This record gives sequence, C-alpha cells and structure tokens, in this order.
Amino acid sequence: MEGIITNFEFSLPFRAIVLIAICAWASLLSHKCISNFNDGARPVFPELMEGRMTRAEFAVVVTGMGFGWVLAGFSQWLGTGLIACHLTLIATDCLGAWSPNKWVALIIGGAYGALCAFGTSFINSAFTALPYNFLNDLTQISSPALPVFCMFPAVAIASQFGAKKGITTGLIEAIVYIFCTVVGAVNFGSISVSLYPYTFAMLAGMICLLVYSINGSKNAESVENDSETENLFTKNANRIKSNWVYLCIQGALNALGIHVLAQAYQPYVLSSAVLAGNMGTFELAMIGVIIAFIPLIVSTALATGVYQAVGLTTVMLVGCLAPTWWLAPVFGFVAEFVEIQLLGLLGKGLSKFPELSKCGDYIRDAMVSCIGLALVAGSFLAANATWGAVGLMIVGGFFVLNDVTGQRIPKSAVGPLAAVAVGILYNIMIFLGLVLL
Amino acid sequence: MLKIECCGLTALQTKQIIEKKFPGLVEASLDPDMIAARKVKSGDVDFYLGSCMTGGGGSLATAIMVLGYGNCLTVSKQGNCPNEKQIRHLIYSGNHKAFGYVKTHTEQVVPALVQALIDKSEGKPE
Repeated sequence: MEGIITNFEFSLPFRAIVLIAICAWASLLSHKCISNFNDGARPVFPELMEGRMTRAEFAVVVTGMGFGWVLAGFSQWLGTGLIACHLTLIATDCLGAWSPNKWVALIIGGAYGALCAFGTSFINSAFTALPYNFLNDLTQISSPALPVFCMFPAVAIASQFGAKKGITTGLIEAIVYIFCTVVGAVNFGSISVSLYPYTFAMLAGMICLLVYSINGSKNAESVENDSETENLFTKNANRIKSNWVYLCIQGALNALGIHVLAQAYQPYVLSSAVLAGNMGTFELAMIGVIIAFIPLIVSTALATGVYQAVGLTTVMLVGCLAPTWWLAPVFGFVAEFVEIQLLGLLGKGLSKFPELSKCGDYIRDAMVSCIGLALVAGSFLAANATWGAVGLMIVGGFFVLNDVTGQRIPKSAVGPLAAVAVGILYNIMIFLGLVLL
Repeated sequence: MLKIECCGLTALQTKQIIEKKFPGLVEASLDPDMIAARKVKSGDVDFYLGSCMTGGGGSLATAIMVLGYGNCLTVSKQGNCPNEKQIRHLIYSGNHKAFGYVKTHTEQVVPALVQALIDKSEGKPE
C-alpha cells in the first residue's frame, strides 16, 4: 500500500491543463483579495484592502508566510508523487499578491501551474537516469502515514478528554483493525464488502470522538456576541457571498483537480488510499479534516472577508465522490455554493459556543502530530533503504541541526528533504567510485 | 502579576511551560480563543498567546477580529523562528497584546516571549 504514484489514470497533458486552470484562477482570486490558501496570511489581506499597506509591503508579508509551506509542499510531492495544494496554492497566493494587475496574476499563476505539472514529471524521469534510482526507497516515506494517521481520534480525545479515554479509544481502534484483517470481507447476499482495516479503525475512533464530544458539550457555556462582532461578521460574510461566482469556479476546479489527481489534498492519506484502491479511507479522513478545519477557516474568513481557496475543503470530498470526471466540477461548484451560504450561520454558532471551536483545534493538532510523526519515521525508513546506517545518520543530523538553527526548514518537510539528500549523496558517491553497487 | 491567555494548538503546552518557568510571576489560563480575546480587550487579562501551523492564521484570527490587526504580532512563521534576542526586540519595539507562533516553535518562543513581557511590564530595559 505504500508507494509513490507514477501511473495516473488521466494523461499528463490533461492533468496539466487542469492544474494550470486551478493555479491561474487561484492567483487571480488572491490578487483580487477574494480568497487565499494560507490561513496564516489571510489576516494580512484587509491591510491591503483597506489601504494600510502598499501592494509591495503586502506581498512581502504574504511571501514570508508562504515560503516554508511551498517547501513542505515540494516534500509532499517527493513522498507521494502527488502535487499537493501546498505546492500550488501557497505559491499562487504569493504570485497573486505580487501581480500588479489581474492579467499578470492569471498568466503567472497559469505558468506556475505548468511548471509544477511538467517540472515534477521531468524530475521523475531524471530519477531513472541516475546510477542508483532511489525513487523506490522514497516510497517508504509515506508507508507509516496511514497507520499512524488512523490514530488521530485517539490523540484528539486524549488531549481533550484525558489520557484514559484516549487510550481506550486507541485500544478500540486496534481491536477493530485486527477484527477487520481477520474477517476480511462481509457478504450481504451476493455483494461482498471488503473491510479495509484502516477505514474501519478510523471510523471506530471517530465515533468515539463524536460520543465524547456530545457528552462533553452538555455543559458548554454559550457566549453572546457584542454588536461590534456581529456587524463585522455580517459585513464580511456578505463580501464573501458577493464573490460567489469566482469562488464557485475555484471550487469546481479544485474538485476536478482532486478527481483526476492533478492536485492533491492531504497527499499522504490520499496516496495511501489511491494505491490501496480504497478511496473510502480518504473520504472518511476528509470528513474528519472538514470538521477539524471548519473553526479555523470560518473564523479567519469572517474576520477578514477573504475566503479559503479550497473552501471548507468539502470540495475535495465531493470531488472524490463524483462518479465521473465531468461530474466532479459540478459537485464542487454546488458544494462551494452551499458552504458560502452557510458561512454566516457557522460563524455565529462557533462564536456562541467557543468550546466547539476548541474541539476543531484538538482534532487539527492531533492530525498534524500524527502525520508529522509518521513522516519522521518514514524518512528514516527511506534513508535506511537507500544507504543503511549512513542514511540514518544524515537524516538524524538534518533533524537535530534544523531544530537548533531555528527550524529554517519546516518540521514536516525536513525528513523527506533529508531522505532525498541521502539519495543524491549516495549517487555522488557511486559516481566517484567510493561506493560500489 | 501578569495574566496571560494560552490559546491555539499548543495551548496546554504553552501553559505548562509558563507555569514551570515563571512560577508565581504569571497567571496562565486556558479559555477558548473568543473568550480569551474579549478578556484581553476588556483589560481583565494582559496578553494573548496563540499557536497554529502558520503562526498567524488560526492562532491570531480571533484576536485580530476582536483586538484589531495592529494589536497582534506574528512572532514566528514556518521556516523562520527568531532567537531569544530577536524575540525580545520584537516585544520591546511594539505594543502588541496578542502574539502568534508556529506550534512546533512553542518550546523556543514561549519562554523568551514571556520573559520579555515580564521585564517590559516591570520597566526593565531591553
């Protein structure tokens, strides 16, 4: 089930066109301050819109917030073979921010999309020309991703409701996993449903999370909004609603993008699901992701009037669920439209029940921690496969040195990049005759 | 005694660091971000600390909404974690009420940040 995706169902030119469209449009929307992908840069947009910053000042801040993420996106591609949103949409945020007018934004956004689509395929073919092709070893990076990610409900429960409940959930998940591997498949009459263990382990965990959350929310206190906050919410929700055409087109493109795998979201989970031929895992994980990200995206969107380029990420779910590729954009368009209509309501609910938005924080943190740990382990596995103990030493060195020098490379990117460095060094050694194959 | 609200992804870790490093000097609390930001606005609490993946999004969104952009500062971002001296300078050269940082920088940022806030409130020079 682990591995890098190199055989795509849809041809490279087709995927490239989709990616170019996504990037061009996202860049335009970032230029017009309609939506952006980097949640951290979103609060800066009103500074430009309300004239407190010049475009150049604004673009510098947005780029500063984005650089590390593009690197993380690149490392995601290295580990999965999928072009993730972090590689494309964070960059288009910056390109749109720098663009002096909308035409430039469209053109350089599209050009960047083309660069991603063809550049990554070029690097892939360059790998095969190496004396030692370590692409197969890099597949190890994503191998722990899904198994560890499945544990996110247990981690979220442990940090929110205490260690005891977390451990109980972990045990339940493990039992479900083992049960599914033993049973294998269930027959309903003539239909055989295979029990993909990761899907059901995660499902069990998410049910626990739901039960604990409902129990915990019984004594949640509600807070009344002051009129100032209400006015801000209404004003910004209306701004986002008024841009619905732009946003729904972006939603349609994103849904098409993930359906044909031109662009990926949560690439480590997605690639595992694609390779296992079981999209149910990814779809289930996406439900968790949507719940986890709603508080973050709704609060940043309503605080600024700028929406998230992938919305509440429901477009990614419906894009996968769409039965054919041409239905994916239709689903995406509708999902994005519904999201925008619900935005104001969600915002009011979340600010009224602040504990709910805290739940989102716990789940998000749990997911990030699980994937982060999985990548650390995966990078060591990959380096070990390439160059044994030397590889392990180099990856370990990257990690500790990056930490003491102020994390110049984002923590999630350092492992995969180190594993690639090991592969390159190994090839240099072969070239110099210092290592014999 | 300074009162600080710990919010965001590593709220609990932030609170634990503060309580361990500055016992008796700081009162750290763990309110949800909306309540925390309002307490800072009303003056019940002195400062708001928040962490997220980016250092400026989830960590500060609510604070920006309630306190305004000018009162909020992104201390660290992905790929750039300032050192103790730089953090101290950031604190002394502004009058911010809310601070955001990347969750994986929590251990490096929080002690320096809180130390600077304490010293500044006591009128010590930078």
